[in-house]
Amino acid sequence: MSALSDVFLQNTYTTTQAKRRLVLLRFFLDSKLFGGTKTLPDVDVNDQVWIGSLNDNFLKEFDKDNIASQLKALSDELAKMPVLTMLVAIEIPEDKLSELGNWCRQQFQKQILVEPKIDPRLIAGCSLIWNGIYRDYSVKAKIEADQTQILQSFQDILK
Amino acid sequence: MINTMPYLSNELIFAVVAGVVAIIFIVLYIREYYLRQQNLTRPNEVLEESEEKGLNIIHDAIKKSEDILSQAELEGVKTASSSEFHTAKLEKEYLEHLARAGKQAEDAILSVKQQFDTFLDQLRDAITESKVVKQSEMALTKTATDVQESLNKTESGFSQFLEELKTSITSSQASSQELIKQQVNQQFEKFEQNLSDFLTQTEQQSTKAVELEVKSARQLIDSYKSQQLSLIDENIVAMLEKTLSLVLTKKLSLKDQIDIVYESLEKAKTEKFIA
Repeated sequence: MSALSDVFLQNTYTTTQAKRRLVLLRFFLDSKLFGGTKTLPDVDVNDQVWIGSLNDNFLKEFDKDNIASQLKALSDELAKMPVLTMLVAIEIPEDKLSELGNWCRQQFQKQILVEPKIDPRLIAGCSLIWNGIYRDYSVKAKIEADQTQILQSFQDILK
Repeated sequence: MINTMPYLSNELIFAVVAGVVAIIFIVLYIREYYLRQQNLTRPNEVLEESEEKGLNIIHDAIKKSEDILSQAELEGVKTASSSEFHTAKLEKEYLEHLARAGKQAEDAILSVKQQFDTFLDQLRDAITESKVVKQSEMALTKTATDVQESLNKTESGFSQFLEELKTSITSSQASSQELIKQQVNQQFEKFEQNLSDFLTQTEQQSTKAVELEVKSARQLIDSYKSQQLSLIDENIVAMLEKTLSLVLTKKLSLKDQIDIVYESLEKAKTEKFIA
Protein backbone atom coordinates (compact mmCIF):
# COMPACT_ATOMS: atom_id res chain seq x y z
CA MET A 1 0.00 0.00 0.00
CA SER A 2 1.24 3.49 -0.78
CA ALA A 3 1.51 6.37 1.58
CA LEU A 4 -1.46 8.02 -0.06
CA SER A 5 -3.70 5.15 0.70
CA ASP A 6 -2.44 4.89 4.25
CA VAL A 7 -3.31 8.51 4.87
CA PHE A 8 -6.58 8.18 2.95
CA LEU A 9 -7.69 5.17 4.99
CA GLN A 10 -7.04 6.86 8.32
CA ASN A 11 -10.51 7.28 9.87
CA THR A 12 -12.01 5.72 6.73
CA TYR A 13 -13.36 2.27 7.57
CA THR A 14 -16.20 1.52 5.18
CA THR A 15 -16.42 1.26 1.46
CA THR A 16 -19.19 3.85 1.48
CA GLN A 17 -16.93 6.31 3.30
CA ALA A 18 -14.06 5.56 0.93
CA LYS A 19 -16.13 6.16 -2.20
CA ARG A 20 -17.72 9.29 -0.81
CA ARG A 21 -14.45 10.63 0.52
CA LEU A 22 -12.68 9.90 -2.75
CA VAL A 23 -15.25 12.09 -4.50
CA LEU A 24 -14.87 14.64 -1.72
CA LEU A 25 -11.08 14.59 -2.14
CA ARG A 26 -11.46 15.15 -5.92
CA PHE A 27 -13.67 18.15 -5.27
CA PHE A 28 -11.30 19.42 -2.62
CA LEU A 29 -8.21 19.07 -4.82
CA ASP A 30 -9.95 20.56 -7.85
CA SER A 31 -10.98 23.50 -5.82
CA LYS A 32 -7.51 23.87 -4.33
CA LEU A 33 -5.49 23.40 -7.52
CA PHE A 34 -7.76 24.96 -10.10
CA GLY A 35 -9.79 27.33 -7.97
CA GLY A 36 -13.44 27.94 -8.54
CA THR A 37 -16.58 28.40 -6.63
CA LYS A 38 -17.49 24.81 -6.35
CA THR A 39 -18.69 24.00 -2.90
CA LEU A 40 -19.07 20.56 -1.46
CA PRO A 41 -22.77 19.73 -1.35
CA ASP A 42 -24.12 18.39 1.95
CA VAL A 43 -20.75 17.43 3.29
CA ASP A 44 -20.99 15.36 6.42
CA VAL A 45 -19.42 16.72 9.52
CA ASN A 46 -17.25 13.65 9.84
CA ASP A 47 -16.12 14.08 6.26
CA GLN A 48 -15.31 17.70 6.91
CA VAL A 49 -13.27 16.64 9.91
CA TRP A 50 -11.59 14.03 7.75
CA ILE A 51 -10.71 16.57 5.06
CA GLY A 52 -9.37 18.84 7.69
CA SER A 53 -7.23 16.09 9.08
CA LEU A 54 -5.35 15.56 5.81
CA ASN A 55 -1.87 16.88 6.26
CA ASP A 56 0.19 18.91 3.80
CA ASN A 57 2.45 16.05 2.84
CA PHE A 58 -0.55 14.19 1.53
CA LEU A 59 -1.85 17.13 -0.38
CA LYS A 60 1.55 17.90 -1.90
CA GLU A 61 1.39 14.60 -3.70
CA PHE A 62 -1.25 16.11 -5.97
CA ASP A 63 -0.69 18.85 -8.49
CA LYS A 64 -2.39 19.98 -11.68
CA ASP A 65 -0.55 17.49 -13.80
CA ASN A 66 -0.93 14.28 -11.79
CA ILE A 67 -4.18 14.81 -10.01
CA ALA A 68 -6.10 12.53 -12.31
CA SER A 69 -3.51 9.80 -12.32
CA GLN A 70 -2.99 9.98 -8.58
CA LEU A 71 -6.69 9.82 -7.90
CA LYS A 72 -6.99 6.92 -10.28
CA ALA A 73 -4.12 5.12 -8.60
CA LEU A 74 -5.69 5.80 -5.24
CA SER A 75 -9.00 4.59 -6.50
CA ASP A 76 -7.41 1.46 -7.87
CA GLU A 77 -5.73 0.79 -4.58
CA LEU A 78 -8.95 1.25 -2.70
CA ALA A 79 -10.64 -1.09 -5.11
CA LYS A 80 -8.04 -3.71 -4.33
CA MET A 81 -8.53 -3.37 -0.59
CA PRO A 82 -9.91 -6.47 1.18
CA VAL A 83 -13.58 -5.90 1.96
CA LEU A 84 -15.48 -7.47 4.84
CA THR A 85 -19.17 -7.44 3.99
CA MET A 86 -21.16 -7.06 7.18
CA LEU A 87 -24.90 -7.70 7.11
CA VAL A 88 -26.78 -6.20 10.06
CA ALA A 89 -30.46 -6.06 11.02
CA ILE A 90 -30.74 -2.33 11.41
CA GLU A 91 -29.03 0.70 9.98
CA ILE A 92 -26.03 1.60 12.12
CA PRO A 93 -24.84 5.22 12.33
CA GLU A 94 -21.60 5.98 10.58
CA ASP A 95 -19.70 6.82 13.71
CA LYS A 96 -20.64 3.41 15.09
CA LEU A 97 -19.66 1.86 11.80
CA SER A 98 -16.32 3.61 12.06
CA GLU A 99 -15.86 2.15 15.51
CA LEU A 100 -16.73 -1.28 14.17
CA GLY A 101 -14.29 -0.76 11.28
CA ASN A 102 -11.58 0.35 13.61
CA TRP A 103 -12.24 -2.70 15.78
CA CYS A 104 -11.98 -4.98 12.75
CA ARG A 105 -8.69 -3.40 11.70
CA GLN A 106 -7.37 -3.93 15.19
CA GLN A 107 -8.59 -7.50 15.44
CA PHE A 108 -8.23 -8.78 11.89
CA GLN A 109 -6.21 -6.76 9.40
CA LYS A 110 -4.91 -3.20 9.30
CA GLN A 111 -5.92 -2.68 5.69
CA ILE A 112 -9.54 -3.66 5.59
CA LEU A 113 -12.76 -2.01 4.59
CA VAL A 114 -16.16 -2.86 5.95
CA GLU A 115 -19.10 -2.86 3.58
CA PRO A 116 -22.27 -2.62 5.67
CA LYS A 117 -25.57 -4.04 4.34
CA ILE A 118 -28.95 -4.30 5.97
CA ASP A 119 -30.91 -7.57 6.33
CA PRO A 120 -33.82 -7.25 8.75
CA ARG A 121 -34.29 -11.06 8.84
CA LEU A 122 -31.15 -11.34 10.93
CA ILE A 123 -33.04 -9.88 13.94
CA ALA A 124 -29.81 -8.88 15.64
CA GLY A 125 -26.08 -9.41 15.35
CA CYS A 126 -24.47 -9.77 11.93
CA SER A 127 -23.52 -12.17 9.21
CA LEU A 128 -20.22 -11.83 7.37
CA ILE A 129 -18.97 -12.42 3.84
CA TRP A 130 -15.19 -12.78 3.55
CA ASN A 131 -13.45 -13.82 0.38
CA GLY A 132 -16.73 -15.07 -1.05
CA ILE A 133 -17.62 -17.19 2.01
CA TYR A 134 -20.81 -16.43 3.87
CA ARG A 135 -21.17 -17.15 7.57
CA ASP A 136 -24.07 -16.19 9.74
CA TYR A 137 -23.49 -15.10 13.34
CA SER A 138 -26.83 -13.40 13.80
CA VAL A 139 -29.63 -14.14 16.28
CA LYS A 140 -31.52 -15.80 13.41
CA ALA A 141 -28.72 -18.32 13.00
CA LYS A 142 -28.71 -18.94 16.74
CA ILE A 143 -32.46 -19.55 16.68
CA GLU A 144 -32.14 -22.00 13.80
CA ALA A 145 -29.23 -23.73 15.52
CA ASP A 146 -31.22 -24.04 18.72
CA GLN A 147 -34.47 -24.86 16.89
CA THR A 148 -34.90 -28.26 18.54
CA GLN A 149 -34.47 -26.92 22.03
CA ILE A 150 -36.78 -24.04 21.28
CA LEU A 151 -39.46 -26.38 19.90
CA GLN A 152 -39.04 -28.64 22.90
CA SER A 153 -39.49 -25.65 25.12
CA PHE A 154 -42.62 -24.73 23.20
CA GLN A 155 -43.93 -28.26 23.48
CA ASP A 156 -43.18 -28.28 27.19
CA ILE A 157 -45.07 -25.05 27.52
CA LEU A 158 -48.00 -26.40 25.48
CA LYS A 159 -48.18 -29.50 27.64
CA MET B 1 -111.47 -203.38 -25.47
CA ILE B 2 -112.93 -202.61 -22.20
CA ASN B 3 -109.60 -203.32 -20.55
CA THR B 4 -107.55 -201.24 -22.93
CA MET B 5 -109.70 -198.15 -22.90
CA PRO B 6 -108.81 -197.04 -19.40
CA TYR B 7 -105.23 -197.55 -20.22
CA LEU B 8 -105.49 -195.57 -23.40
CA SER B 9 -107.58 -193.04 -21.67
CA ASN B 10 -105.03 -192.64 -18.94
CA GLU B 11 -102.17 -192.27 -21.39
CA LEU B 12 -104.12 -189.79 -23.37
CA ILE B 13 -105.21 -187.91 -20.36
CA PHE B 14 -101.65 -187.92 -19.14
CA ALA B 15 -100.47 -186.56 -22.45
CA VAL B 16 -103.22 -184.04 -22.55
CA VAL B 17 -102.62 -183.05 -18.97
CA ALA B 18 -98.92 -182.83 -19.62
CA GLY B 19 -99.56 -180.70 -22.64
CA VAL B 20 -102.01 -178.53 -20.76
CA VAL B 21 -99.59 -178.20 -17.89
CA ALA B 22 -96.89 -177.31 -20.30
CA ILE B 23 -99.12 -174.77 -21.96
CA ILE B 24 -100.18 -173.33 -18.63
CA PHE B 25 -96.61 -173.22 -17.52
CA ILE B 26 -95.64 -171.59 -20.73
CA VAL B 27 -98.54 -169.14 -20.48
CA LEU B 28 -97.62 -168.38 -16.90
CA TYR B 29 -94.05 -168.00 -17.93
CA ILE B 30 -95.03 -165.68 -20.76
CA ARG B 31 -97.27 -163.79 -18.42
CA GLU B 32 -94.49 -163.56 -15.90
CA TYR B 33 -92.15 -162.63 -18.66
CA TYR B 34 -94.47 -159.93 -19.89
CA LEU B 35 -95.03 -158.75 -16.41
CA ARG B 36 -91.32 -158.56 -15.90
CA GLN B 37 -90.94 -157.10 -19.32
CA GLN B 38 -93.45 -154.49 -18.38
CA ASN B 39 -91.44 -153.78 -15.29
CA LEU B 40 -88.39 -153.14 -17.40
CA THR B 41 -88.47 -149.54 -18.28
CA ARG B 42 -85.65 -149.56 -20.72
CA PRO B 43 -85.70 -152.12 -23.59
CA ASN B 44 -82.46 -153.27 -24.96
CA GLU B 45 -81.29 -155.46 -27.71
CA VAL B 46 -80.49 -158.51 -25.54
CA LEU B 47 -83.91 -158.57 -23.97
CA GLU B 48 -85.62 -158.13 -27.32
CA GLU B 49 -83.58 -160.91 -28.80
CA SER B 50 -84.31 -163.20 -25.84
CA GLU B 51 -87.93 -162.30 -26.04
CA GLU B 52 -88.02 -163.11 -29.70
CA LYS B 53 -86.26 -166.44 -29.19
CA GLY B 54 -88.51 -167.32 -26.29
CA LEU B 55 -91.57 -166.48 -28.33
CA ASN B 56 -90.32 -168.62 -31.21
CA ILE B 57 -89.57 -171.56 -28.91
CA ILE B 58 -92.96 -171.31 -27.25
CA HIS B 59 -94.58 -171.02 -30.60
CA ASP B 60 -92.75 -174.12 -31.87
CA ALA B 61 -93.56 -176.03 -28.69
CA ILE B 62 -97.21 -175.16 -28.90
CA LYS B 63 -97.29 -176.12 -32.54
CA LYS B 64 -95.60 -179.45 -31.89
CA SER B 65 -97.78 -180.26 -28.92
CA GLU B 66 -100.86 -179.43 -30.96
CA ASP B 67 -99.60 -181.67 -33.76
CA ILE B 68 -98.90 -184.47 -31.28
CA LEU B 69 -102.29 -184.07 -29.66
CA SER B 70 -104.09 -184.00 -32.99
CA GLN B 71 -102.15 -187.03 -34.16
CA ALA B 72 -102.87 -188.82 -30.89
CA GLU B 73 -106.56 -188.03 -31.17
CA LEU B 74 -106.56 -189.19 -34.75
CA GLU B 75 -104.81 -192.32 -33.79
CA GLY B 76 -107.22 -192.90 -30.94
CA VAL B 77 -110.23 -192.42 -33.23
CA LYS B 78 -108.72 -194.74 -35.76
CA THR B 79 -107.99 -197.32 -33.11
CA ALA B 80 -111.47 -197.06 -31.63
CA SER B 81 -113.12 -197.46 -35.04
CA SER B 82 -111.21 -200.54 -36.05
CA SER B 83 -111.15 -202.20 -32.72
CA GLU B 84 -113.45 -204.98 -33.52
CA PHE B 85 -111.47 -206.45 -36.32
CA HIS B 86 -108.14 -205.70 -35.51
CA THR B 87 -108.44 -205.68 -31.83
CA ALA B 88 -105.56 -207.86 -31.08
CA LYS B 89 -103.48 -206.73 -33.96
CA LEU B 90 -104.28 -203.27 -33.61
CA GLU B 91 -104.09 -203.41 -29.92
CA LYS B 92 -100.49 -204.21 -30.33
CA GLU B 93 -100.01 -201.71 -33.06
CA TYR B 94 -102.02 -199.31 -31.11
CA LEU B 95 -99.92 -199.91 -28.15
CA GLU B 96 -96.89 -199.59 -30.25
CA HIS B 97 -98.23 -196.47 -31.82
CA LEU B 98 -99.32 -195.26 -28.47
CA ALA B 99 -95.92 -196.13 -27.13
CA ARG B 100 -94.34 -194.34 -29.98
CA ALA B 101 -96.78 -191.55 -29.62
CA GLY B 102 -96.08 -191.45 -25.94
CA LYS B 103 -92.45 -191.63 -26.66
CA GLN B 104 -92.78 -189.02 -29.29
CA ALA B 105 -94.77 -187.01 -26.84
CA GLU B 106 -92.17 -187.64 -24.24
CA ASP B 107 -89.51 -186.82 -26.77
CA ALA B 108 -91.43 -183.82 -27.78
CA ILE B 109 -91.91 -182.92 -24.17
CA LEU B 110 -88.27 -183.61 -23.52
CA SER B 111 -87.38 -181.65 -26.58
CA VAL B 112 -89.68 -178.93 -25.46
CA LYS B 113 -88.27 -179.32 -22.03
CA GLN B 114 -84.78 -179.14 -23.39
CA GLN B 115 -85.70 -176.24 -25.53
CA PHE B 116 -87.44 -174.83 -22.56
CA ASP B 117 -84.36 -175.46 -20.46
CA THR B 118 -82.30 -173.97 -23.20
CA PHE B 119 -84.75 -171.21 -23.30
CA LEU B 120 -84.54 -171.00 -19.56
CA ASP B 121 -80.80 -170.93 -19.80
CA GLN B 122 -80.97 -168.33 -22.46
CA LEU B 123 -83.59 -166.57 -20.49
CA ARG B 124 -81.43 -166.92 -17.44
CA ASP B 125 -78.58 -165.55 -19.46
CA ALA B 126 -80.84 -162.89 -20.72
CA ILE B 127 -81.98 -162.30 -17.22
CA THR B 128 -78.38 -162.35 -16.18
CA GLU B 129 -77.68 -159.94 -18.96
CA SER B 130 -80.72 -158.09 -17.92
CA LYS B 131 -79.25 -158.23 -14.46
CA VAL B 132 -76.12 -156.78 -15.89
CA VAL B 133 -78.26 -154.23 -17.54
CA LYS B 134 -80.12 -153.95 -14.35
CA GLN B 135 -76.88 -153.62 -12.51
CA SER B 136 -75.87 -151.13 -15.10
CA GLU B 137 -79.18 -149.54 -14.64
CA MET B 138 -78.72 -149.83 -10.95
CA ALA B 139 -75.26 -148.49 -11.42
CA LEU B 140 -76.74 -145.91 -13.64
CA THR B 141 -79.46 -145.43 -11.15
CA LYS B 142 -76.89 -145.37 -8.44
CA THR B 143 -74.85 -143.11 -10.61
CA ALA B 144 -77.96 -141.13 -11.28
CA THR B 145 -78.69 -141.30 -7.59
CA ASP B 146 -75.14 -140.31 -6.88
CA VAL B 147 -75.39 -137.71 -9.54
CA GLN B 148 -78.67 -136.67 -8.06
CA GLU B 149 -77.18 -136.76 -4.63
CA SER B 150 -74.17 -134.94 -5.98
CA LEU B 151 -76.53 -132.60 -7.68
CA ASN B 152 -78.46 -132.33 -4.49
CA LYS B 153 -75.25 -131.88 -2.61
CA THR B 154 -74.09 -129.46 -5.26
CA GLU B 155 -77.44 -127.77 -5.12
CA SER B 156 -77.36 -127.75 -1.38
CA GLY B 157 -73.72 -126.66 -1.57
CA PHE B 158 -74.66 -124.13 -4.15
CA SER B 159 -77.56 -123.07 -2.03
CA GLN B 160 -75.25 -122.95 0.93
CA PHE B 161 -72.76 -121.16 -1.21
CA LEU B 162 -75.48 -118.82 -2.32
CA GLU B 163 -76.50 -118.37 1.29
CA GLU B 164 -72.91 -117.83 2.26
CA LEU B 165 -72.49 -115.62 -0.75
CA LYS B 166 -75.63 -113.77 0.22
CA THR B 167 -74.38 -113.54 3.75
CA SER B 168 -70.97 -112.53 2.49
CA ILE B 169 -72.51 -110.03 0.11
CA THR B 170 -74.69 -108.74 2.89
CA SER B 171 -71.70 -108.60 5.20
CA SER B 172 -69.58 -107.12 2.45
CA GLN B 173 -72.32 -104.67 1.62
CA ALA B 174 -72.62 -103.78 5.26
CA SER B 175 -68.86 -103.51 5.60
CA SER B 176 -68.72 -101.57 2.33
CA GLN B 177 -71.44 -99.28 3.54
CA GLU B 178 -69.61 -98.95 6.81
CA LEU B 179 -66.35 -98.37 4.97
CA ILE B 180 -67.99 -95.87 2.63
CA LYS B 181 -69.59 -94.26 5.63
CA GLN B 182 -66.25 -94.12 7.38
CA GLN B 183 -64.57 -92.78 4.24
CA VAL B 184 -67.33 -90.25 3.78
CA ASN B 185 -67.00 -89.29 7.40
CA GLN B 186 -63.24 -89.12 7.00
CA GLN B 187 -63.67 -87.04 3.85
CA PHE B 188 -66.09 -84.81 5.67
CA GLU B 189 -63.73 -84.53 8.61
CA LYS B 190 -60.86 -83.85 6.23
CA PHE B 191 -63.00 -81.34 4.37
CA GLU B 192 -63.99 -79.72 7.63
CA GLN B 193 -60.37 -79.69 8.73
CA ASN B 194 -59.25 -78.24 5.39
CA LEU B 195 -62.08 -75.74 5.49
CA SER B 196 -61.17 -74.84 9.05
CA ASP B 197 -57.51 -74.51 8.11
CA PHE B 198 -58.44 -72.49 5.06
CA LEU B 199 -60.69 -70.26 7.10
CA THR B 200 -58.02 -69.93 9.75
CA GLN B 201 -55.40 -69.11 7.13
CA THR B 202 -57.78 -66.73 5.43
CA GLU B 203 -58.57 -65.14 8.76
CA GLN B 204 -54.90 -64.90 9.57
CA GLN B 205 -54.13 -63.51 6.14
CA SER B 206 -57.03 -61.10 6.41
CA THR B 207 -55.93 -60.13 9.89
CA LYS B 208 -52.37 -59.78 8.67
CA ALA B 209 -53.53 -57.76 5.67
CA VAL B 210 -55.70 -55.60 7.89
CA GLU B 211 -52.84 -55.21 10.32
CA LEU B 212 -50.54 -54.28 7.45
CA GLU B 213 -53.14 -51.84 6.18
CA VAL B 214 -53.55 -50.42 9.67
CA LYS B 215 -49.80 -50.30 10.08
CA SER B 216 -49.44 -48.64 6.69
CA ALA B 217 -52.22 -46.22 7.55
CA ARG B 218 -50.63 -45.54 10.90
CA GLN B 219 -47.28 -45.00 9.24
CA LEU B 220 -48.95 -42.72 6.74
CA ILE B 221 -50.69 -40.90 9.55
CA ASP B 222 -47.47 -40.73 11.54
CA SER B 223 -45.62 -39.52 8.47
CA TYR B 224 -48.33 -36.97 7.80
CA LYS B 225 -48.36 -36.07 11.45
CA SER B 226 -44.59 -35.71 11.56
CA GLN B 227 -44.70 -33.70 8.34
CA GLN B 228 -47.41 -31.50 9.74
CA LEU B 229 -45.60 -31.22 13.04
CA SER B 230 -42.41 -30.46 11.18
CA LEU B 231 -44.31 -27.90 9.15
CA ILE B 232 -45.78 -26.52 12.35
CA ASP B 233 -42.35 -26.52 13.94
CA GLU B 234 -40.94 -24.75 10.94
CA ASN B 235 -43.83 -22.37 11.04
CA ILE B 236 -43.31 -21.94 14.73
CA VAL B 237 -39.65 -21.18 14.14
CA ALA B 238 -40.54 -18.93 11.24
CA MET B 239 -43.19 -17.26 13.37
CA LEU B 240 -40.71 -16.98 16.19
CA GLU B 241 -38.13 -15.48 13.87
CA LYS B 242 -40.72 -13.16 12.40
CA THR B 243 -41.93 -12.20 15.83
CA LEU B 244 -38.43 -11.68 17.16
CA SER B 245 -37.51 -9.76 14.04
CA LEU B 246 -40.48 -7.49 14.52
CA VAL B 247 -40.18 -7.20 18.26
CA LEU B 248 -36.45 -7.15 18.85
CA THR B 249 -35.84 -4.75 16.01
CA LYS B 250 -38.06 -2.29 17.76
CA LYS B 251 -37.31 -3.21 21.31
CA LEU B 252 -33.56 -3.59 21.14
CA SER B 253 -31.68 -0.32 21.50
CA LEU B 254 -28.90 0.71 19.14
CA LYS B 255 -26.35 -0.03 21.80
CA ASP B 256 -27.80 -3.51 22.28
CA GLN B 257 -27.77 -4.08 18.55
CA ILE B 258 -24.16 -2.95 18.28
CA ASP B 259 -23.18 -5.07 21.29
CA ILE B 260 -24.72 -8.08 19.61
CA VAL B 261 -22.79 -7.21 16.43
CA TYR B 262 -19.61 -7.11 18.46
CA GLU B 263 -20.49 -10.51 19.93
CA SER B 264 -20.91 -11.81 16.41
CA LEU B 265 -17.55 -10.41 15.39
CA GLU B 266 -15.93 -11.91 18.49
CA LYS B 267 -17.36 -15.26 17.50
CA ALA B 268 -16.00 -14.85 13.97
CA LYS B 269 -12.64 -13.97 15.47
CA THR B 270 -12.79 -17.02 17.74
CA GLU B 271 -13.58 -19.21 14.76
CA LYS B 272 -10.76 -17.46 12.82
CA PHE B 273 -13.20 -16.87 10.00
CA ILE B 274 -11.16 -13.82 8.94
CA ALA B 275 -7.50 -14.76 8.73
